[in-house]
Amino acid sequence: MSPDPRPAEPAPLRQQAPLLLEPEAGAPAVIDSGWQPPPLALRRPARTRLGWLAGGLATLLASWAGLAAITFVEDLFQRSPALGWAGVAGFGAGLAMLAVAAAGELRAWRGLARVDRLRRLLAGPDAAMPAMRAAARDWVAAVRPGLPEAEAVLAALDGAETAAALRALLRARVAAPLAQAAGRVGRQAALEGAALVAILPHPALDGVFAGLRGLRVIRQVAALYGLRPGTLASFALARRVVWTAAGTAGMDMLAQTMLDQVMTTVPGVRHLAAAIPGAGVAAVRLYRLAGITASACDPLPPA
Amino acid sequence: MRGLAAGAAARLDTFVNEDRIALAVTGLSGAGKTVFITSLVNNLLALGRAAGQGRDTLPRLTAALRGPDGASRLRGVRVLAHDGALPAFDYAGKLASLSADTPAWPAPTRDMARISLAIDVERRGPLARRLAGPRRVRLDILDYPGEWLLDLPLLRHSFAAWSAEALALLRTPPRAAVAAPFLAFLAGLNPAGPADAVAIAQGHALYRAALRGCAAIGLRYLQPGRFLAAPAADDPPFLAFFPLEGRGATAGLLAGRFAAYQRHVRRTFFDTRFRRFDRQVMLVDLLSALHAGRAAFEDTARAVADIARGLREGWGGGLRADGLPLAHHVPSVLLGGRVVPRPIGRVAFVATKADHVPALRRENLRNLLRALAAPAAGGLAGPAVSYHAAAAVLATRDGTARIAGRAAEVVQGVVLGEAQARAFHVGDVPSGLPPDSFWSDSYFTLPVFRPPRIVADGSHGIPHLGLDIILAELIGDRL
Repeated sequence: MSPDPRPAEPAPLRQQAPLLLEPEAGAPAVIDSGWQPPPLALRRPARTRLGWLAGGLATLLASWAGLAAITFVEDLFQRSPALGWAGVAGFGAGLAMLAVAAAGELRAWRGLARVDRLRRLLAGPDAAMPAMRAAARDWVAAVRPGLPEAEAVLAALDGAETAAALRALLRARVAAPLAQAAGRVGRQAALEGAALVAILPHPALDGVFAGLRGLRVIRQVAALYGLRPGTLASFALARRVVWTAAGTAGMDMLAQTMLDQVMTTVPGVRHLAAAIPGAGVAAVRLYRLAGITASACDPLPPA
Repeated sequence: MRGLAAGAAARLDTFVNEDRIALAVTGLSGAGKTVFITSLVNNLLALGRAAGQGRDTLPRLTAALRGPDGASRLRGVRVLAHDGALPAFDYAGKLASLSADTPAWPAPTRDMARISLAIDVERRGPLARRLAGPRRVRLDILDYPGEWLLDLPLLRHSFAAWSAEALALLRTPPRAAVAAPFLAFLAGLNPAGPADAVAIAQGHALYRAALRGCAAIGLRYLQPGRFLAAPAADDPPFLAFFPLEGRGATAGLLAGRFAAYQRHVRRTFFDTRFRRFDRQVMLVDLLSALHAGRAAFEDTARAVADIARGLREGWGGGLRADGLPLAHHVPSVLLGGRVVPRPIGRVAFVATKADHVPALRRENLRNLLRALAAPAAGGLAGPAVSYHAAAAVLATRDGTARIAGRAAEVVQGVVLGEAQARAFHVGDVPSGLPPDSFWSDSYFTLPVFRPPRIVADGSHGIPHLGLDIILAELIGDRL
């Protein structure tokens, strides 16, 4: 009688019986469940009620000024047609200038919106490539004055087949040169900041100067990134910079590292900082501001 | 004057910007209320940390908080200062136990406790968001023993009816063996005889010991629930009663104390606390009951069904809690300063310790809980009820092991007090009421696994299973 070649059936498992097994050799001492919750994407704070207050006041002021102007011109016409036309010409010129300023602000707002749109698109999948490529082309065209290789980059955009390739191209050939230019703006501002702190007559003026120079740094860096902000858009951009700074806090905000960097890369600041208390701090603040503004204006997602 | 103005401004701010949710968390003994609340608070705080630092510890709740642009509407979560009206839930102490170098399960709470969180969220809709700014959801989390809920059905019983029911139950195995001293005492007591204070005190002590003995063998349907706590020196005299059939002076005295107990429960819990809850979590350790044998499981099933019925009726399902229609309360509330009853919004029944069950069988656990609670909880207009299988703290991971030559789904964890991980095969988890063939004589105690490593600063939350789904179900509509 030959043995049965089939393997023996395992004994039926009594399924309902719970069982705690003995530990296997090399069993871990700690259980890793793979818990790693991702960072939460927060919305930027919505416009505050202060913004609505300012908008309401501006509307009231504009309405009052407009109605007063009409009444005034009517009054001039009643006195003399010549006076009336002179009034129309004066108010018309003023309105035209206001319209030019408003158009500039509007362009600046659209520039900010373009960065947001490109940022959303660049974070998207390959399926969004045509829209992504078109938006990238717009951006490169906007930053053309500060980008020596702009034409070559525009040509290379058509060769990027995937979102990752497009992002890599923009990062290497657009974002990197722009970041270097922003660094130059920061170093220049740092040197000026240190020098001015040295000659300012009172330490209380340091903060005022830093604020004004800081706003200029923001505008200079934003212009590099093709934004050219007007006055109001500059404030909006400043808010965005504050938000970016909050988001990157702790990553590159190590003050001592930054201080060392400024001291070694900006000639003159080292001597001023050694001689004048506060000069080094002002320099570091302005240099750091340039970097953060560049991050806020850069539509590329973090690498 | 300035104080008045500040008070008025604060009330106006509360009226306009604050929405209050009273979330009651309860469960039968050993169900894991303390751990549940600790994990819930920790994960909410980790979610709502300062800008840019929050982590998505509760994905389903995050989805409920997501705006049209995909970003979270959440602006922050913080613990509010305790107002002293109720004992504070010792969150810091419980978290310290869990996140210690040698993690340990925190000691359970025995009495009512509360912790309040403020959840700041942007309003829905761009116009409301821009015009009115963020709003605040005040989440009052109340911890109270689930056994108290088992006292609610007592409110509708006379002493005679309750005694008959309680004694009939006590004379069935396995209760009869545990309650033998009490039943022997009753056999020698004449209900019609003169009320003997010493004998009544002895009877009460024996009845209380019988209930606690039943709890020790895994039984859960034990009334009155407050008798399960250790006797205290300041226990009011009316607590000293026990079930007794018959008429007479002794039975009359006990009936009077029973009625006083009913009034006490109504005054100190039902009218003043219970009616204020508008969301409820009911935790059930169904796995332990399943493994403790048929008697323990059926007892737990009966307790769950009774609690479900109590929740439905107590929150205005149209039935009566004290012999009067619910609507009858309203004028007395307005005149007498009592709490206005309001309908409960949502109830979540949760089978805890789901991390002892491999992923493929967790749905069975949920279905089993539904089979126990749904017949009593549903059927009438009332709160929206959901059923879940969850683990407030995930102490295991899924895996496979060979048992009797076959591959089986298991979970792996480090048993408390041991140094190496072991595999645990939970066996069959029926997806409905178990058939007779399911039960065997074996009795199995669920292993207690060591809590996972938890980042002590709370930045990463606590690993969990399904806590986010429960929260989204319970409070998602109010965020």
